[in-house]
Amino acid sequence: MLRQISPARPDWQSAVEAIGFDFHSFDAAPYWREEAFWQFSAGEIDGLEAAANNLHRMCMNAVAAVIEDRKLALFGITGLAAELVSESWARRDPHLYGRLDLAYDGSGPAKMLEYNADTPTSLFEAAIVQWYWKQALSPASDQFNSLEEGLVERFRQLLQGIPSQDPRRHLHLSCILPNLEDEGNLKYLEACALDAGFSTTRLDIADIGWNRQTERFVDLDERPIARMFKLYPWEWMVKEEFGANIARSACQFLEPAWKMILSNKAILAQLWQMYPYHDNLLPAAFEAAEIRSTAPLGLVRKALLGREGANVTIYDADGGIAESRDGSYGDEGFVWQARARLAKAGPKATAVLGVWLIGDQARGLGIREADGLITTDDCHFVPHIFS
Amino acid sequence: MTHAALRARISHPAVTALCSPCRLQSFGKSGFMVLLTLMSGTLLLAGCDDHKKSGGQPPASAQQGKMYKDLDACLADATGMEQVTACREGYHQALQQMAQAPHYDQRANCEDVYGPGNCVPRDSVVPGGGGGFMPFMMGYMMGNLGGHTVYQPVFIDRGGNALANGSRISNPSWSGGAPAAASPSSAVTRGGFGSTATAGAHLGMGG
Repeated sequence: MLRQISPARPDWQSAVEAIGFDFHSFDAAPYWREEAFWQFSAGEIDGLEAAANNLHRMCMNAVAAVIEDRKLALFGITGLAAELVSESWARRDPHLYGRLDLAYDGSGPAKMLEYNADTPTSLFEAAIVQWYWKQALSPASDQFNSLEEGLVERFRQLLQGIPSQDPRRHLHLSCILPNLEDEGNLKYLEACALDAGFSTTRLDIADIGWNRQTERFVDLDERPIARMFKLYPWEWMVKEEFGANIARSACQFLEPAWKMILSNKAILAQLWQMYPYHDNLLPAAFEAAEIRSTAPLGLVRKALLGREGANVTIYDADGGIAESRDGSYGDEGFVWQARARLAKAGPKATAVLGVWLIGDQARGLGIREADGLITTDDCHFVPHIFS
Repeated sequence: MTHAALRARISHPAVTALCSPCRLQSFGKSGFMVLLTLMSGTLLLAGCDDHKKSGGQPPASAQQGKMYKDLDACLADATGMEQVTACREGYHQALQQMAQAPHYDQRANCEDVYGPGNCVPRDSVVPGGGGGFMPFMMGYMMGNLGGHTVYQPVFIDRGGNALANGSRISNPSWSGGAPAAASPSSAVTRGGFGSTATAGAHLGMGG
Protein backbone atom coordinates (compact mmCIF):
# COMPACT_ATOMS: atom_id res chain seq x y z
CA MET A 1 0.00 0.00 0.00
CA LEU A 2 1.65 3.17 -1.25
CA ARG A 3 0.57 6.73 -1.68
CA GLN A 4 1.81 7.81 -5.10
CA ILE A 5 2.11 11.36 -6.31
CA SER A 6 0.92 11.96 -9.85
CA PRO A 7 0.00 15.15 -11.66
CA ALA A 8 -3.68 15.95 -11.75
CA ARG A 9 -5.25 16.15 -15.18
CA PRO A 10 -4.98 19.79 -16.27
CA ASP A 11 -8.67 19.76 -17.10
CA TRP A 12 -9.72 17.58 -14.16
CA GLN A 13 -12.62 19.84 -13.19
CA SER A 14 -14.27 19.62 -16.59
CA ALA A 15 -13.35 15.92 -16.83
CA VAL A 16 -15.22 15.05 -13.65
CA GLU A 17 -18.06 17.48 -14.36
CA ALA A 18 -18.57 15.70 -17.68
CA ILE A 19 -19.54 12.56 -15.79
CA GLY A 20 -21.90 14.41 -13.50
CA PHE A 21 -19.61 15.09 -10.54
CA ASP A 22 -20.75 18.57 -9.61
CA PHE A 23 -19.62 18.53 -5.97
CA HIS A 24 -15.88 18.06 -6.59
CA SER A 25 -15.04 21.20 -4.61
CA PHE A 26 -16.48 22.82 -1.51
CA ASP A 27 -15.96 26.54 -0.91
CA ALA A 28 -13.34 26.55 -3.67
CA ALA A 29 -11.30 23.82 -1.93
CA PRO A 30 -11.13 20.63 -3.97
CA TYR A 31 -12.85 17.65 -2.36
CA TRP A 32 -11.79 15.38 -5.19
CA ARG A 33 -8.00 15.15 -5.13
CA GLU A 34 -6.15 13.41 -7.93
CA GLU A 35 -2.62 14.72 -7.46
CA ALA A 36 -2.14 11.56 -5.45
CA PHE A 37 -3.52 8.03 -5.55
CA TRP A 38 -3.21 4.92 -3.43
CA GLN A 39 -1.66 1.81 -4.90
CA PHE A 40 -2.39 -1.62 -3.45
CA SER A 41 -1.29 -5.16 -4.17
CA ALA A 42 -3.92 -7.72 -5.11
CA GLY A 43 -3.22 -9.50 -1.84
CA GLU A 44 -3.92 -6.35 0.16
CA ILE A 45 -7.21 -5.85 -1.64
CA ASP A 46 -8.15 -9.50 -1.03
CA GLY A 47 -7.43 -8.95 2.65
CA LEU A 48 -9.57 -5.81 2.82
CA GLU A 49 -12.44 -7.54 1.02
CA ALA A 50 -12.29 -10.52 3.36
CA ALA A 51 -12.06 -8.27 6.43
CA ALA A 52 -15.10 -6.26 5.35
CA ASN A 53 -17.14 -9.38 4.60
CA ASN A 54 -16.22 -10.82 7.98
CA LEU A 55 -16.98 -7.60 9.82
CA HIS A 56 -20.34 -7.28 8.10
CA ARG A 57 -21.25 -10.84 9.08
CA MET A 58 -20.24 -10.11 12.66
CA CYS A 59 -22.28 -6.91 12.58
CA MET A 60 -25.38 -8.79 11.43
CA ASN A 61 -24.89 -11.24 14.30
CA ALA A 62 -24.53 -8.29 16.62
CA VAL A 63 -27.84 -6.79 15.44
CA ALA A 64 -29.58 -10.08 16.22
CA ALA A 65 -27.93 -10.25 19.63
CA VAL A 66 -28.75 -6.66 20.56
CA ILE A 67 -32.42 -7.22 19.75
CA GLU A 68 -32.68 -10.66 21.32
CA ASP A 69 -30.84 -9.62 24.47
CA ARG A 70 -32.94 -6.43 24.76
CA LYS A 71 -29.92 -4.18 24.75
CA LEU A 72 -31.39 -1.45 22.56
CA ALA A 73 -31.51 0.96 25.51
CA LEU A 74 -27.70 0.81 25.69
CA PHE A 75 -27.77 2.31 22.19
CA GLY A 76 -30.17 5.03 23.29
CA ILE A 77 -32.82 3.32 21.16
CA THR A 78 -36.09 3.35 23.08
CA GLY A 79 -39.81 3.75 22.54
CA LEU A 80 -40.92 4.16 18.96
CA ALA A 81 -37.39 3.74 17.60
CA ALA A 82 -37.01 0.44 19.44
CA GLU A 83 -40.33 -0.82 18.05
CA LEU A 84 -39.35 0.09 14.50
CA VAL A 85 -35.96 -1.56 14.86
CA SER A 86 -37.39 -4.79 16.28
CA GLU A 87 -40.25 -4.97 13.78
CA SER A 88 -38.06 -4.30 10.77
CA TRP A 89 -35.62 -6.98 11.91
CA ALA A 90 -38.42 -9.48 12.58
CA ARG A 91 -39.72 -8.83 9.05
CA ARG A 92 -36.17 -9.18 7.69
CA ASP A 93 -36.58 -5.87 5.87
CA PRO A 94 -33.91 -5.82 3.15
CA HIS A 95 -30.95 -3.48 3.26
CA LEU A 96 -29.12 -1.87 0.38
CA TYR A 97 -25.69 -0.65 1.27
CA GLY A 98 -23.26 0.57 3.87
CA ARG A 99 -19.68 1.74 4.22
CA LEU A 100 -17.30 0.17 6.70
CA ASP A 101 -14.57 2.62 7.64
CA LEU A 102 -11.30 0.83 8.26
CA ALA A 103 -7.93 1.83 9.64
CA TYR A 104 -5.24 0.19 7.52
CA ASP A 105 -1.75 1.23 6.52
CA GLY A 106 -0.61 -1.93 4.76
CA SER A 107 0.83 -3.56 7.87
CA GLY A 108 -1.22 -5.83 10.09
CA PRO A 109 -4.95 -6.48 9.81
CA ALA A 110 -7.45 -3.74 8.93
CA LYS A 111 -9.33 -2.44 11.97
CA MET A 112 -12.95 -1.37 11.99
CA LEU A 113 -13.36 2.28 12.96
CA GLU A 114 -17.12 2.39 12.46
CA TYR A 115 -19.95 1.34 10.15
CA ASN A 116 -21.78 4.02 8.19
CA ALA A 117 -24.73 1.75 7.72
CA ASP A 118 -27.65 4.19 7.59
CA THR A 119 -26.70 7.27 5.55
CA PRO A 120 -23.33 6.63 3.89
CA THR A 121 -22.16 8.99 1.16
CA SER A 122 -19.16 9.22 -1.20
CA LEU A 123 -20.71 6.37 -3.18
CA PHE A 124 -20.71 8.20 -6.49
CA GLU A 125 -17.05 9.15 -6.07
CA ALA A 126 -16.11 5.54 -5.29
CA ALA A 127 -18.24 3.94 -7.99
CA ILE A 128 -17.91 6.37 -10.89
CA VAL A 129 -15.42 9.21 -10.48
CA GLN A 130 -12.41 7.15 -9.47
CA TRP A 131 -13.26 4.56 -12.12
CA TYR A 132 -13.19 7.16 -14.91
CA TRP A 133 -9.97 8.54 -13.44
CA LYS A 134 -8.40 5.07 -13.61
CA GLN A 135 -9.63 4.49 -17.17
CA ALA A 136 -8.12 7.82 -18.21
CA LEU A 137 -4.75 7.48 -16.47
CA SER A 138 -4.05 3.83 -15.82
CA PRO A 139 -6.45 1.67 -17.81
CA ALA A 140 -4.34 -1.48 -17.37
CA SER A 141 -4.57 -1.27 -13.58
CA ASP A 142 -7.34 -2.76 -11.54
CA GLN A 143 -9.60 -1.15 -8.96
CA PHE A 144 -11.61 -2.60 -6.07
CA ASN A 145 -14.86 -1.45 -7.60
CA SER A 146 -17.79 -3.50 -8.77
CA LEU A 147 -20.15 -1.09 -7.03
CA GLU A 148 -22.41 -0.40 -9.95
CA GLU A 149 -22.88 -4.07 -10.83
CA GLY A 150 -23.53 -4.72 -7.16
CA LEU A 151 -26.09 -1.96 -6.81
CA VAL A 152 -28.01 -2.91 -9.94
CA GLU A 153 -27.97 -6.55 -8.90
CA ARG A 154 -29.18 -5.61 -5.41
CA PHE A 155 -32.02 -3.50 -6.81
CA ARG A 156 -32.98 -6.39 -9.09
CA GLN A 157 -33.19 -8.65 -6.05
CA LEU A 158 -35.53 -6.13 -4.44
CA LEU A 159 -37.82 -6.45 -7.46
CA GLN A 160 -37.82 -10.23 -7.51
CA GLY A 161 -41.28 -11.75 -7.23
CA ILE A 162 -43.06 -8.39 -7.22
CA PRO A 163 -45.86 -8.27 -9.80
CA SER A 164 -45.78 -5.73 -12.60
CA GLN A 165 -48.46 -3.37 -11.28
CA ASP A 166 -47.32 -3.50 -7.66
CA PRO A 167 -46.46 -0.08 -6.19
CA ARG A 168 -43.32 -1.60 -4.68
CA ARG A 169 -41.79 -1.48 -8.15
CA HIS A 170 -41.66 2.28 -7.75
CA LEU A 171 -38.84 3.67 -5.63
CA HIS A 172 -39.04 7.12 -4.07
CA LEU A 173 -35.66 8.60 -3.19
CA SER A 174 -35.46 11.37 -0.65
CA CYS A 175 -32.92 13.64 1.01
CA ILE A 176 -32.60 17.22 2.19
CA LEU A 177 -32.57 19.51 -0.83
CA PRO A 178 -30.75 21.46 -1.96
CA ASN A 179 -27.50 19.71 -1.12
CA LEU A 180 -25.21 18.93 -4.03
CA GLU A 181 -23.41 16.09 -2.29
CA ASP A 182 -26.43 14.25 -0.93
CA GLU A 183 -28.30 14.82 -4.16
CA GLY A 184 -25.36 13.49 -6.16
CA ASN A 185 -25.45 10.27 -4.17
CA LEU A 186 -29.21 10.10 -4.51
CA LYS A 187 -29.17 10.60 -8.28
CA TYR A 188 -26.60 7.88 -8.67
CA LEU A 189 -28.65 5.40 -6.68
CA GLU A 190 -31.68 6.42 -8.70
CA ALA A 191 -29.83 5.65 -11.92
CA CYS A 192 -28.94 2.19 -10.61
CA ALA A 193 -32.53 1.55 -9.52
CA LEU A 194 -33.81 2.59 -12.95
CA ASP A 195 -31.29 0.29 -14.58
CA ALA A 196 -32.59 -2.59 -12.47
CA GLY A 197 -36.20 -1.97 -13.55
CA PHE A 198 -37.63 0.33 -10.89
CA SER A 199 -39.54 3.44 -11.79
CA THR A 200 -38.47 6.30 -9.55
CA THR A 201 -39.38 9.65 -8.04
CA ARG A 202 -36.92 11.93 -6.28
CA LEU A 203 -38.17 14.38 -3.67
CA ASP A 204 -37.14 16.62 -0.82
CA ILE A 205 -37.71 14.87 2.48
CA ALA A 206 -39.68 17.93 3.63
CA ASP A 207 -42.09 17.44 0.71
CA ILE A 208 -43.17 13.99 1.84
CA GLY A 209 -46.86 14.04 2.66
CA TRP A 210 -48.98 11.97 4.98
CA ASN A 211 -52.45 11.05 3.78
CA ARG A 212 -54.37 10.45 6.98
CA GLN A 213 -57.25 8.90 5.09
CA THR A 214 -55.26 6.18 3.38
CA GLU A 215 -52.56 6.18 6.06
CA ARG A 216 -49.81 6.30 3.48
CA PHE A 217 -46.85 8.55 2.90
CA VAL A 218 -47.39 10.30 -0.43
CA ASP A 219 -45.31 12.27 -2.89
CA LEU A 220 -46.17 15.63 -4.43
CA ASP A 221 -48.60 13.94 -6.86
CA GLU A 222 -50.19 12.24 -3.85
CA ARG A 223 -48.95 8.92 -5.13
CA PRO A 224 -48.41 6.55 -2.23
CA ILE A 225 -44.81 5.81 -1.26
CA ALA A 226 -44.45 2.03 -1.04
CA ARG A 227 -40.67 2.00 -0.97
CA MET A 228 -38.43 4.84 -0.01
CA PHE A 229 -34.70 5.25 -0.07
CA LYS A 230 -33.96 8.01 2.42
CA LEU A 231 -30.60 9.66 2.81
CA TYR A 232 -31.67 10.94 6.19
CA PRO A 233 -30.84 9.53 9.62
CA TRP A 234 -33.35 7.19 11.19
CA GLU A 235 -32.83 8.68 14.62
CA TRP A 236 -33.99 12.04 13.24
CA MET A 237 -36.99 10.59 11.43
CA VAL A 238 -38.37 8.82 14.47
CA LYS A 239 -38.46 11.95 16.60
CA GLU A 240 -39.98 14.18 13.92
CA GLU A 241 -43.70 14.79 13.46
CA PHE A 242 -44.25 11.97 10.94
CA GLY A 243 -42.22 9.50 12.97
CA ALA A 244 -45.32 8.18 14.68
CA ASN A 245 -46.84 7.32 11.27
CA ILE A 246 -43.99 5.11 10.09
CA ALA A 247 -45.16 1.85 11.64
CA ARG A 248 -48.62 1.93 10.02
CA SER A 249 -47.50 3.46 6.72
CA ALA A 250 -46.73 0.06 5.13
CA CYS A 251 -43.78 1.86 3.53
CA GLN A 252 -40.59 -0.14 3.18
CA PHE A 253 -37.57 2.02 3.93
CA LEU A 254 -34.04 1.71 2.61
CA GLU A 255 -32.04 1.54 4.74
CA PRO A 256 -34.36 -0.38 7.08
CA ALA A 257 -34.87 0.76 10.67
CA TRP A 258 -32.69 -2.02 12.08
CA LYS A 259 -29.69 -0.24 10.58
CA MET A 260 -30.06 2.17 13.51
CA ILE A 261 -28.12 -0.42 15.48
CA LEU A 262 -25.18 -0.57 13.07
CA SER A 263 -24.87 3.17 12.46
CA ASN A 264 -24.77 3.70 16.22
CA LYS A 265 -21.26 3.62 17.62
CA ALA A 266 -22.43 1.53 20.57
CA ILE A 267 -22.10 -1.33 18.08
CA LEU A 268 -18.32 -1.07 18.58
CA ALA A 269 -18.65 -2.05 22.25
CA GLN A 270 -21.14 -4.77 21.37
CA LEU A 271 -18.78 -6.26 18.77
CA TRP A 272 -15.81 -6.22 21.12
CA GLN A 273 -17.91 -7.97 23.73
CA MET A 274 -19.05 -10.65 21.26
CA TYR A 275 -15.73 -11.05 19.43
CA PRO A 276 -13.01 -9.97 21.89
CA TYR A 277 -9.54 -9.63 20.39
CA HIS A 278 -10.81 -10.29 16.87
CA ASP A 279 -8.11 -9.28 14.37
CA ASN A 280 -10.30 -6.70 12.66
CA LEU A 281 -11.69 -5.07 15.80
CA LEU A 282 -10.34 -2.37 18.05
CA PRO A 283 -11.06 -2.70 21.77
CA ALA A 284 -14.21 -0.71 22.56
CA ALA A 285 -16.41 -0.20 25.63
CA PHE A 286 -18.77 2.28 27.27
CA GLU A 287 -16.18 2.95 29.99
CA ALA A 288 -12.63 4.00 29.13
CA ALA A 289 -11.23 2.07 32.08
CA GLU A 290 -12.36 -1.22 30.57
CA ILE A 291 -10.07 -0.94 27.55
CA ARG A 292 -7.29 1.42 28.63
CA SER A 293 -4.84 -1.44 29.19
CA THR A 294 -5.44 -2.71 25.64
CA ALA A 295 -5.00 0.69 23.99
CA PRO A 296 -1.25 1.40 23.72
CA LEU A 297 -1.75 4.32 21.30
CA GLY A 298 -4.40 6.01 23.42
CA LEU A 299 -8.18 6.20 23.35
CA VAL A 300 -10.84 7.77 21.19
CA ARG A 301 -14.18 8.99 22.51
CA LYS A 302 -17.00 9.01 19.94
CA ALA A 303 -20.58 10.28 20.24
CA LEU A 304 -22.97 7.37 19.65
CA LEU A 305 -24.79 9.18 16.85
CA GLY A 306 -22.02 11.47 15.64
CA ARG A 307 -21.62 12.07 11.92
CA GLU A 308 -18.80 13.44 9.80
CA GLY A 309 -16.26 13.34 12.61
CA ALA A 310 -18.33 15.54 14.92
CA ASN A 311 -17.93 15.11 18.68
CA VAL A 312 -14.86 12.90 18.38
CA THR A 313 -11.93 13.33 20.77
CA ILE A 314 -8.63 11.50 20.30
CA TYR A 315 -6.39 11.06 23.35
CA ASP A 316 -2.70 10.23 23.41
CA ALA A 317 -1.44 7.32 25.47
CA ASP A 318 -0.55 9.75 28.26
CA GLY A 319 -4.13 11.07 28.33
CA GLY A 320 -3.49 14.38 26.57
CA ILE A 321 -5.87 15.44 23.80
CA ALA A 322 -4.32 14.77 20.39
CA GLU A 323 -7.28 16.14 18.43
CA SER A 324 -10.88 17.02 19.13
CA ARG A 325 -13.88 18.05 17.10
CA ASP A 326 -16.95 19.84 18.37
CA GLY A 327 -20.44 19.22 17.14
CA SER A 328 -24.06 18.94 18.04
CA TYR A 329 -24.02 15.26 19.04
CA GLY A 330 -23.26 13.56 22.33
CA ASP A 331 -26.42 13.98 24.39
CA GLU A 332 -27.12 10.37 23.50
CA GLY A 333 -23.88 9.16 25.11
CA PHE A 334 -20.41 8.13 24.05
CA VAL A 335 -18.36 5.03 23.41
CA TRP A 336 -14.63 4.56 23.88
CA GLN A 337 -12.42 2.87 21.32
CA ALA A 338 -8.73 2.11 21.30
CA ARG A 339 -6.85 4.43 19.00
CA ALA A 340 -5.76 2.86 15.71
CA ARG A 341 -2.78 3.52 13.53
CA LEU A 342 -4.03 5.29 10.39
CA ALA A 343 -2.36 5.34 7.00
CA LYS A 344 -0.25 8.46 6.62
CA ALA A 345 -1.15 10.79 3.77
CA GLY A 346 1.36 13.51 4.66
CA PRO A 347 3.26 14.88 7.67
CA LYS A 348 0.02 15.25 9.61
CA ALA A 349 -2.57 13.98 7.16
CA THR A 350 -4.19 10.56 7.46
CA ALA A 351 -6.31 8.29 5.27
CA VAL A 352 -9.32 6.15 6.11
CA LEU A 353 -10.44 3.29 3.89
CA GLY A 354 -14.15 2.96 3.25
CA VAL A 355 -15.11 -0.50 2.04
CA TRP A 356 -18.59 -0.57 0.56
CA LEU A 357 -21.01 -3.35 1.29
CA ILE A 358 -23.78 -3.80 -1.24
CA GLY A 359 -26.30 -6.15 0.26
CA ASP A 360 -24.07 -8.53 2.21
CA GLN A 361 -21.07 -8.35 -0.08
CA ALA A 362 -17.99 -6.10 -0.12
CA ARG A 363 -17.97 -4.50 -3.57
CA GLY A 364 -15.63 -1.53 -3.57
CA LEU A 365 -13.25 0.85 -1.87
CA GLY A 366 -13.13 4.61 -1.46
CA ILE A 367 -10.34 6.44 0.34
CA ARG A 368 -10.72 9.74 2.13
CA GLU A 369 -7.84 11.79 3.43
CA ALA A 370 -8.03 14.18 6.36
CA ASP A 371 -5.61 16.99 7.15
CA GLY A 372 -5.39 15.66 10.69
CA LEU A 373 -6.48 12.59 12.60
CA ILE A 374 -10.26 12.95 12.36
CA THR A 375 -11.99 12.42 9.04
CA THR A 376 -14.61 15.16 8.66
CA ASP A 377 -16.62 16.76 5.90
CA ASP A 378 -13.47 18.75 5.04
CA CYS A 379 -11.76 15.57 3.86
CA HIS A 380 -10.57 14.74 0.35
CA PHE A 381 -11.50 11.79 -1.78
CA VAL A 382 -8.42 10.20 -3.35
CA PRO A 383 -8.59 7.44 -5.99
CA HIS A 384 -6.89 4.05 -5.80
CA ILE A 385 -5.68 1.23 -8.03
CA PHE A 386 -4.27 -2.23 -7.45
CA SER A 387 -2.10 -4.48 -9.53
CA MET B 1 -72.75 -13.81 1.22
CA THR B 2 -69.43 -12.18 1.80
CA HIS B 3 -68.70 -8.63 0.88
CA ALA B 4 -65.98 -9.84 -1.42
CA ALA B 5 -68.60 -11.80 -3.31
CA LEU B 6 -70.73 -8.71 -3.51
CA ARG B 7 -67.89 -6.74 -4.95
CA ALA B 8 -67.32 -9.43 -7.51
CA ARG B 9 -70.90 -9.24 -8.63
CA ILE B 10 -71.37 -5.51 -8.81
CA SER B 11 -69.41 -4.15 -11.68
CA HIS B 12 -69.07 -0.45 -12.23
CA PRO B 13 -68.08 0.86 -15.59
CA ALA B 14 -66.54 4.31 -15.52
CA VAL B 15 -69.40 6.60 -14.72
CA THR B 16 -70.36 8.77 -17.63
CA ALA B 17 -74.10 8.99 -17.22
CA LEU B 18 -76.11 9.68 -14.14
CA CYS B 19 -79.45 8.03 -13.65
CA SER B 20 -81.90 7.80 -10.83
CA PRO B 21 -83.26 5.34 -10.07
CA CYS B 22 -80.68 3.12 -11.66
CA ARG B 23 -80.29 -0.53 -12.40
CA LEU B 24 -76.99 -2.25 -12.80
CA GLN B 25 -77.03 -5.83 -13.90
CA SER B 26 -74.42 -8.46 -13.79
CA PHE B 27 -74.51 -12.21 -13.58
CA GLY B 28 -72.37 -14.18 -11.23
CA LYS B 29 -71.65 -17.88 -11.37
CA SER B 30 -75.02 -18.70 -9.91
CA GLY B 31 -76.90 -16.51 -12.31
CA PHE B 32 -77.60 -14.21 -9.44
CA MET B 33 -78.75 -10.83 -10.60
CA VAL B 34 -78.19 -7.69 -8.64
CA LEU B 35 -80.64 -4.89 -8.74
CA LEU B 36 -79.50 -1.63 -7.37
CA THR B 37 -81.97 0.96 -6.34
CA LEU B 38 -81.03 4.27 -4.95
CA MET B 39 -83.67 6.46 -3.52
CA SER B 40 -83.94 9.09 -0.87
CA GLY B 41 -80.47 8.48 0.45
CA THR B 42 -81.14 4.79 0.94
CA LEU B 43 -79.02 2.25 -0.82
CA LEU B 44 -80.98 -0.89 -1.46
CA LEU B 45 -79.35 -3.83 -3.11
CA ALA B 46 -81.49 -6.88 -3.57
CA GLY B 47 -80.89 -10.24 -5.19
CA CYS B 48 -83.62 -11.36 -7.58
CA ASP B 49 -83.93 -14.66 -5.80
CA ASP B 50 -84.72 -13.15 -2.49
CA HIS B 51 -85.76 -9.57 -2.95
CA LYS B 52 -88.99 -10.25 -1.17
CA LYS B 53 -87.13 -11.56 1.79
CA SER B 54 -84.82 -8.57 1.88
CA GLY B 55 -87.75 -6.23 1.72
CA GLY B 56 -89.34 -7.87 4.71
CA GLN B 57 -86.30 -8.02 6.93
CA PRO B 58 -85.51 -5.50 9.60
CA PRO B 59 -82.47 -3.38 8.80
CA ALA B 60 -79.18 -4.95 9.81
CA SER B 61 -78.11 -1.74 11.42
CA ALA B 62 -79.90 1.27 12.74
CA GLN B 63 -77.43 3.38 10.77
CA GLN B 64 -78.57 1.88 7.51
CA GLY B 65 -79.13 4.35 4.77
CA LYS B 66 -77.24 7.05 6.58
CA MET B 67 -74.44 8.96 4.96
CA TYR B 68 -71.35 10.13 6.77
CA LYS B 69 -68.60 12.41 5.58
CA ASP B 70 -66.01 10.43 7.53
CA LEU B 71 -65.47 7.89 10.27
CA ASP B 72 -65.64 10.52 13.01
CA ALA B 73 -69.09 11.64 11.90
CA CYS B 74 -70.30 8.05 12.01
CA LEU B 75 -68.77 7.42 15.43
CA ALA B 76 -70.38 10.59 16.78
CA ASP B 77 -73.73 9.23 15.60
CA ALA B 78 -73.20 5.74 16.98
CA THR B 79 -74.88 4.48 20.09
CA GLY B 80 -73.43 1.28 21.47
CA MET B 81 -70.55 -0.93 20.53
CA GLU B 82 -72.38 -2.63 17.69
CA GLN B 83 -72.81 0.64 15.84
CA VAL B 84 -69.26 1.72 16.61
CA THR B 85 -68.08 -1.53 15.05
CA ALA B 86 -70.37 -0.98 12.08
CA CYS B 87 -68.90 2.50 11.59
CA ARG B 88 -65.36 1.19 11.52
CA GLU B 89 -66.09 -1.81 9.33
CA GLY B 90 -68.17 0.31 7.05
CA TYR B 91 -65.45 2.86 6.63
CA HIS B 92 -62.82 0.28 5.78
CA GLN B 93 -65.09 -1.60 3.43
CA ALA B 94 -66.02 1.61 1.69
CA LEU B 95 -62.29 2.25 1.24
CA GLN B 96 -61.94 -1.24 -0.21
CA GLN B 97 -64.84 -0.55 -2.54
CA MET B 98 -62.76 2.26 -4.01
CA ALA B 99 -61.20 -0.48 -6.15
CA GLN B 100 -64.46 -0.48 -8.10
CA ALA B 101 -64.88 3.27 -8.19
CA PRO B 102 -64.88 5.11 -11.52
CA HIS B 103 -61.49 5.97 -12.91
CA TYR B 104 -60.08 7.93 -15.79
CA ASP B 105 -56.88 7.91 -17.81
CA GLN B 106 -56.38 11.64 -17.46
CA ARG B 107 -56.69 13.80 -14.37
CA ALA B 108 -58.47 16.41 -16.52
CA ASN B 109 -61.18 13.94 -17.54
CA CYS B 110 -61.75 13.04 -13.92
CA GLU B 111 -61.86 16.69 -12.87
CA ASP B 112 -64.40 17.38 -15.62
CA VAL B 113 -66.80 15.22 -13.65
CA TYR B 114 -65.76 15.82 -10.05
CA GLY B 115 -64.30 19.30 -10.15
CA PRO B 116 -60.79 20.71 -10.03
CA GLY B 117 -58.63 19.31 -7.27
CA ASN B 118 -61.01 16.49 -6.47
CA CYS B 119 -59.19 13.68 -8.27
CA VAL B 120 -56.17 11.70 -7.13
CA PRO B 121 -53.89 9.13 -8.76
CA ARG B 122 -55.71 5.81 -8.59
CA ASP B 123 -52.81 3.98 -6.96
CA SER B 124 -52.74 6.50 -4.13
CA VAL B 125 -56.06 5.05 -2.99
CA VAL B 126 -56.15 1.52 -4.35
CA PRO B 127 -53.01 -0.51 -3.63
CA GLY B 128 -51.71 -1.80 -6.93
CA GLY B 129 -54.46 0.18 -8.62
CA GLY B 130 -52.41 0.85 -11.72
CA GLY B 131 -52.52 4.15 -13.54
CA GLY B 132 -55.21 6.71 -13.95
CA PHE B 133 -57.15 9.00 -11.68
CA MET B 134 -60.21 8.67 -9.55
CA PRO B 135 -62.37 10.95 -7.46
CA PHE B 136 -61.68 11.50 -3.84
CA MET B 137 -63.94 9.59 -1.45
CA MET B 138 -66.10 12.30 0.12
CA GLY B 139 -67.97 10.08 2.50
CA TYR B 140 -69.59 6.71 2.84
CA MET B 141 -73.00 5.22 3.29
CA MET B 142 -74.52 2.06 4.57
CA GLY B 143 -77.14 0.10 2.72
CA ASN B 144 -78.75 -3.27 2.59
CA LEU B 145 -78.28 -6.07 0.14
CA GLY B 146 -80.33 -9.18 0.71
CA GLY B 147 -80.45 -8.56 4.42
CA HIS B 148 -76.73 -7.84 4.61
CA THR B 149 -75.36 -4.45 5.42
CA VAL B 150 -73.17 -3.12 2.65
CA TYR B 151 -71.01 -0.06 2.47
CA GLN B 152 -70.25 2.25 -0.39
CA PRO B 153 -68.00 5.23 -0.90
CA VAL B 154 -69.82 8.44 -1.77
CA PHE B 155 -68.48 10.91 -4.31
CA ILE B 156 -69.53 14.45 -5.06
CA ASP B 157 -69.54 15.67 -8.64
CA ARG B 158 -68.71 19.19 -9.70
CA GLY B 159 -72.38 20.08 -9.57
CA GLY B 160 -72.51 19.15 -5.91
CA ASN B 161 -74.46 15.94 -6.47
CA ALA B 162 -73.74 12.98 -4.22
CA LEU B 163 -72.99 9.76 -6.09
CA ALA B 164 -72.71 6.19 -4.91
CA ASN B 165 -72.34 3.00 -6.86
CA GLY B 166 -72.42 4.89 -10.12
CA SER B 167 -75.69 6.60 -9.38
CA ARG B 168 -76.86 9.93 -8.16
CA ILE B 169 -78.39 9.97 -4.71
CA SER B 170 -81.52 12.04 -4.67
CA ASN B 171 -82.08 14.07 -1.52
CA PRO B 172 -78.84 13.05 0.17
CA SER B 173 -78.92 13.52 3.91
CA TRP B 174 -75.61 13.64 5.67
CA SER B 175 -75.67 12.65 9.32
CA GLY B 176 -73.34 14.83 11.32
CA GLY B 177 -72.77 17.35 8.55
CA ALA B 178 -72.04 17.31 4.84
CA PRO B 179 -68.47 17.15 3.60
CA ALA B 180 -66.88 20.43 2.69
CA ALA B 181 -66.20 20.76 -1.02
CA ALA B 182 -62.83 19.39 -0.11
CA SER B 183 -59.80 18.98 -2.27
CA PRO B 184 -57.50 16.00 -1.75
CA SER B 185 -55.03 18.19 0.08
CA SER B 186 -57.38 18.21 3.03
CA ALA B 187 -56.28 14.67 3.82
CA VAL B 188 -52.58 15.28 3.21
CA THR B 189 -50.20 17.14 5.45
CA ARG B 190 -46.57 17.82 4.62
CA GLY B 191 -43.40 18.90 6.34
CA GLY B 192 -43.44 16.15 8.96
CA PHE B 193 -39.92 15.05 8.04
CA GLY B 194 -36.79 17.15 7.75
CA SER B 195 -37.13 19.45 10.75
CA THR B 196 -33.99 18.16 12.48
CA ALA B 197 -31.81 19.01 9.50
CA THR B 198 -33.50 22.36 9.08
CA ALA B 199 -32.95 23.19 12.74
CA GLY B 200 -29.20 22.47 12.61
CA ALA B 201 -26.59 23.58 10.13
CA HIS B 202 -26.84 20.59 7.86
CA LEU B 203 -23.93 19.98 5.56
CA GLY B 204 -24.31 16.41 4.40
CA MET B 205 -24.95 12.90 5.56
CA GLY B 206 -21.57 11.32 4.97
CA GLY B 207 -19.69 9.80 7.84
